[in-house]
Amino acid sequence: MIGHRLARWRWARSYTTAVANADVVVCGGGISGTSIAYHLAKRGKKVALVEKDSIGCSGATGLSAGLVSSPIFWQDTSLQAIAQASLDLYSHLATTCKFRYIKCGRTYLASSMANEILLRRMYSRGVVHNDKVELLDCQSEMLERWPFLQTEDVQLALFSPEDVALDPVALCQHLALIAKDYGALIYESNPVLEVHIGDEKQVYGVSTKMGFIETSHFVDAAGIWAGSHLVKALPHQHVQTAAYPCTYSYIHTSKLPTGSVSDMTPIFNDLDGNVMLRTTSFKTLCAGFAEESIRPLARQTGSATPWQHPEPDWNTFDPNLEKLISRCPMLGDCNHGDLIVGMEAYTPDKLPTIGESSQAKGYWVMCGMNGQGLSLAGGLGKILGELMCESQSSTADVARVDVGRFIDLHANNQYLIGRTPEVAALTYSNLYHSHQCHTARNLRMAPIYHQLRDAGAVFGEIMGYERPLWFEKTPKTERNALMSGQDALIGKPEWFERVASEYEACRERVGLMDMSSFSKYDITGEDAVEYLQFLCSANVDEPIGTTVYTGMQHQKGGYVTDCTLSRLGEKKFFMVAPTIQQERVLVWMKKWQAILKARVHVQDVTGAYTALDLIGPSSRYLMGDITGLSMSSNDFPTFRCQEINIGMATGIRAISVTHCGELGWVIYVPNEVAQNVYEKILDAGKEYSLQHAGYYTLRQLRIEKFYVYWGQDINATVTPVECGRLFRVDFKKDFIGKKALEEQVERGVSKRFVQLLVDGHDKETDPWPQGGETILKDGRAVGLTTSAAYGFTLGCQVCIGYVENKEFGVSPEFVSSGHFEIDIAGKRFTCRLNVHSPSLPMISSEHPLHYRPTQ
Amino acid sequence: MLKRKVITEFRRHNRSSRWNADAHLRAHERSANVEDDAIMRVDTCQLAANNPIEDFYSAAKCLSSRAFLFGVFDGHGGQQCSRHISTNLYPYLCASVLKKHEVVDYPSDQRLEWLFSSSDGHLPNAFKGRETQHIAEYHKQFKKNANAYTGTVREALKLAFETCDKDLAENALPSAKGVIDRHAAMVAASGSCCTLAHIRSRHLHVANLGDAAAVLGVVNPNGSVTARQLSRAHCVDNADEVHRIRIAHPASESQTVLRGGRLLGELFPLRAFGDVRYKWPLDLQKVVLEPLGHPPPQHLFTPPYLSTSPEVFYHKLTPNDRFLVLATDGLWEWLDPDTVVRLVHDHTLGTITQQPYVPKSGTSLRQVREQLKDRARGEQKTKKPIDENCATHIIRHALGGVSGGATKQYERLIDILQVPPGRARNYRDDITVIVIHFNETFLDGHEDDEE
Repeated sequence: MIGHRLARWRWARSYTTAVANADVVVCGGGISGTSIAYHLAKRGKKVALVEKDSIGCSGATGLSAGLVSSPIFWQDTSLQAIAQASLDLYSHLATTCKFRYIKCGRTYLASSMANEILLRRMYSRGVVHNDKVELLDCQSEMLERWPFLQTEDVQLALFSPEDVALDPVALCQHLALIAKDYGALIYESNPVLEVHIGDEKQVYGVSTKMGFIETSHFVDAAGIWAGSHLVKALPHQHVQTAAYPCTYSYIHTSKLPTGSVSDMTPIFNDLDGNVMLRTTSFKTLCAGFAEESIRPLARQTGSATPWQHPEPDWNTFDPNLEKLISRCPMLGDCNHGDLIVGMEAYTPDKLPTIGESSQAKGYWVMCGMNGQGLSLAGGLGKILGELMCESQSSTADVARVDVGRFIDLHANNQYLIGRTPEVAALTYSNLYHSHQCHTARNLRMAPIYHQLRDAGAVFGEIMGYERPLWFEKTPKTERNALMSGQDALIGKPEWFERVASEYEACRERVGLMDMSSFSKYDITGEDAVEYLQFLCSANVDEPIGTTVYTGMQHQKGGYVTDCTLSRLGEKKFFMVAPTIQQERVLVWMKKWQAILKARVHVQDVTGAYTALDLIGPSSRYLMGDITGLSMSSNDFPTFRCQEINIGMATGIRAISVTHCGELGWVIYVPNEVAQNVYEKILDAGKEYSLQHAGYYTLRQLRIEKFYVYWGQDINATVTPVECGRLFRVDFKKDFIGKKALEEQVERGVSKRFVQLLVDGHDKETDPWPQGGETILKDGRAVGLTTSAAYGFTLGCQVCIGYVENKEFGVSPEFVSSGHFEIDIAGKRFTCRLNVHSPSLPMISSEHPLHYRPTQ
Repeated sequence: MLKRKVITEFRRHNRSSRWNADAHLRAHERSANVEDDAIMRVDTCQLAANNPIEDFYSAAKCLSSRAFLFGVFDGHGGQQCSRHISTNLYPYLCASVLKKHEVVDYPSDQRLEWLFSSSDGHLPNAFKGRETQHIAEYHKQFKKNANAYTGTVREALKLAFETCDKDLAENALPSAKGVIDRHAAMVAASGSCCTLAHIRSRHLHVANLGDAAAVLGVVNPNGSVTARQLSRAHCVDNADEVHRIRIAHPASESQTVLRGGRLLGELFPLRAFGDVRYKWPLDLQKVVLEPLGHPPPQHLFTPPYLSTSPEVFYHKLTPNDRFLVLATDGLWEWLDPDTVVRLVHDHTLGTITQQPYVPKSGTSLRQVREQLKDRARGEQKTKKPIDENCATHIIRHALGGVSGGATKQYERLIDILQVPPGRARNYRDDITVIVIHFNETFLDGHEDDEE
């Protein structure tokens, strides 16, 4: 008791004098900052929270309407987990603290086919965990429940009971209070002036208005001011972040003139109108997200600048107002109220950003909430706490939200100014993997971009790189070759026939695919072999000219990445990793290089090579023709690499791995000779009816062979044991995560990746699987699909997914017995399960020595 | 009856004062359709505060290189120098055409074609002969000087500026008989800033001397317009200039060379034509200027203090570059470059630059929608700005403000225009604006790879 009092006294004193040191300094007193301070303090860290104004009141949190979306909204499983963690935290707080917390629920309204399927999918994933989720398709029933709405054109409504309206300021203050009870120090009216970094770019202290705080960890949760703190030793004098402020406008007006609204009236989201309505017994809030009403703002520089409200612009809000009044005609009679324009930080992919910046050690960021700060920050704080204390998160996979997914271009202001208003307009839209933005395009392009465009390519962007998705048959010269929007969720997508033809070329003749976006690295140096042996789980010490497919595991055995390593010399390797790994893998490798003090040099050469994938049985003869070398299975077997010449061009790296399990080569052509080589291949290819193929073809090819992809199927939470890649792991050597994997082999796994062949699916009229569908065994949910595509050889929809049995593990009997189904948008389909790659018949010629990626 | 009369009278007065203001603003406006190469149309306007006005502007074409030359000249200490420079700088510029740009090689006195000028070019005949001689000599020198002749436009512009100033000062020197030309001495004693745009095909050079400025209006793909400053003011706010001056003079003068934000405590611009009081040594000034009533400045130890070397910016015009605004500092005191380009852009689009809509209290959301709709309709109907001339449009908004609608604007305008020239200098400076509209089709299509 006395100790407690003493501590109290110390905290009280800390308001006036600055502390000398803290484990972590958190900057920002919004929901992000208080959440992370709470979680870290709870873990026993000595936290100092520094807020330039007062807790919860300045910035986006203070201006927000306090609406929390329940996890059902998100398609992505990690975000579902994050949102769930947030809700759990808030509901827990609501029971112990006193602040406005109303579980009013939310109603999503759809008036088009596309959004109807979206809702059905939402329902299908929501109802597994909560049977109170409702679908309503009867307009008169909707009208009966919500008589103030105009429901004539609404095809489907979904009621999600878990959504919450709360008081965001009070929430932040309570979080801060609890953090204080755990020992955190809270400084209000104390802006951060400078973050000091010293040797090896390690944070050693933070200068604030009240004084210097010594710390080795700084968390930048400053919302729209994130990344604006002065860090003198960095090239730009601040950490670059891929978040940019845009306006977020809503009208705050009086209560609707009707007795049928109460505090428990749900929040309404009209998906087709892209507007949101929150009515209570004393006020009405209505927000709209029309793209033209959102404008990017100047990046906030210097945390000391006062919060400047952007000027309300009724003119641009007008389209939203039109949609709002037509959805709720009664709103027209309300007083004009206030048009409130707040600022919120948006990222290029509508996902938040957390993690340790690669620009300075100990500089952590948590920003870019994309208008969903309250829904996500609670869970993100928990995850960031896990990352800071345990280096891995057990709550959710962080690949989709961590800072490592961005490269320099994402932090470019011009890029962000172009992209973020579009992202802000999508705040309440559900984005699937096929979604493509229409802004900030044509940034990174292969040297043969224009040739590919002329050949009919339709491009999709990944990491700023324009990658052909499929090729149109009769391309018009004056067309928009950039795909935007997303595939229809029901029925055949527009590219189906084209991909079928490309698929056939790759299976029976030869296809040419641009794979330049893949991340590429040169790894050289004295210790290259030992270093890579320790990082990779497979044995990479093979003879020169060998290519090894391997995973890089973290300490808990999960995949940091998968990659192919080609040994070009005694101490020289060429590594190819998934596109989205460009930054993350580099950071991981550099981190371990420093820990091991290895004499190696890792160089990112992604932009130096154009990668052309020649796929199909005829690729052997075509490669022979253009290189003049023998490409027979003895002279150049699969999983080999060699530097070759093609015509006059030299320095080309040929690797006999196609990333989709077919016979073929990927040739990595130095950019300067790429056009020459491309034309040469096209010329020589005529004889073999060479056809262009796009990335979508690769998806269909690989999924049939049960080829799991990092970032789609597997991630840091999946181990090789779970996804059938154990045969790639060499337990005879030491590597990161070995112990964890050995334990898992001994214990058996509770999660297993499977290939699902969907029966009875009509591809013309049924909703298509997208990944994220529930897998049911005998009617009970046992897993989720992770990706899906159409198997042209198998003649059915094929999904990859995992089944889980936490109590008894997944045994062969578990998979082979029982009746398996998947639920696509509320419709159930019977499935056959494969644990290994199936053997696929071929019509023509040579069958490659069959490669079975999953065993 | 009486009441009606009062109202009518009031209205008449109101109308006439508005009419007066308009007439006052438009008195010196001028518009020229050029439609040649990159240039579409040029709008100019001028408003005097001094009596007589010390600002001049002129535009000409060099027949030898087909380059257009536009300049604004802001005089100080009298109008003689700016008037002289506004006509006499151009022959020098035409004489310094680079070899590679010479389309036709005319003799130096036939190269210049005037488009317009606010000063008349008539000089005393005796004076004129001397000028022609100077230029012919310069032209010869220029062609002989292999470095300059095959050099860059930047260097040629610098050389022309410097030679023009040198000759101007030379004119003021006593003749062999010891006679001093009073007029020439007045020209040399007064000073002039200058911002000059040299536009050859799609190559834009802006040479700047002093505190006038050139701003380029660039349209973004999303339709908004941004200002790109193509000059830097040469005054104490420019740290590079201050540094340049400080290192050019001994440390012992560090207290006196710049005082109170002015050169030697007197002159605001840090580069200018004329102003020989800051350039000539003390003994020469005692002979030539002092008798004419121009005492040398204090602390004149190591002249020259004032440079005539212009700062030249180059910009290659793209289809996104819509217009160039040249204006003397009188304008920039009132408006910032961003507002100016927005005004010009809105003017060319034919829309009124409006204040954002704010609903009146008591309006319902449905009424808000109706009003917004009306406004949008009204914008289409009454979109014509008051002035045809874009430069006048800028000056109107500079003095009348951008906010508060037409009535409020007129009120302020009438207020400020009532002050007669001369006394008005206490409230505002002379304002000169040139707006050069570029030909989008030309810039879009024409591509040459020189320079």
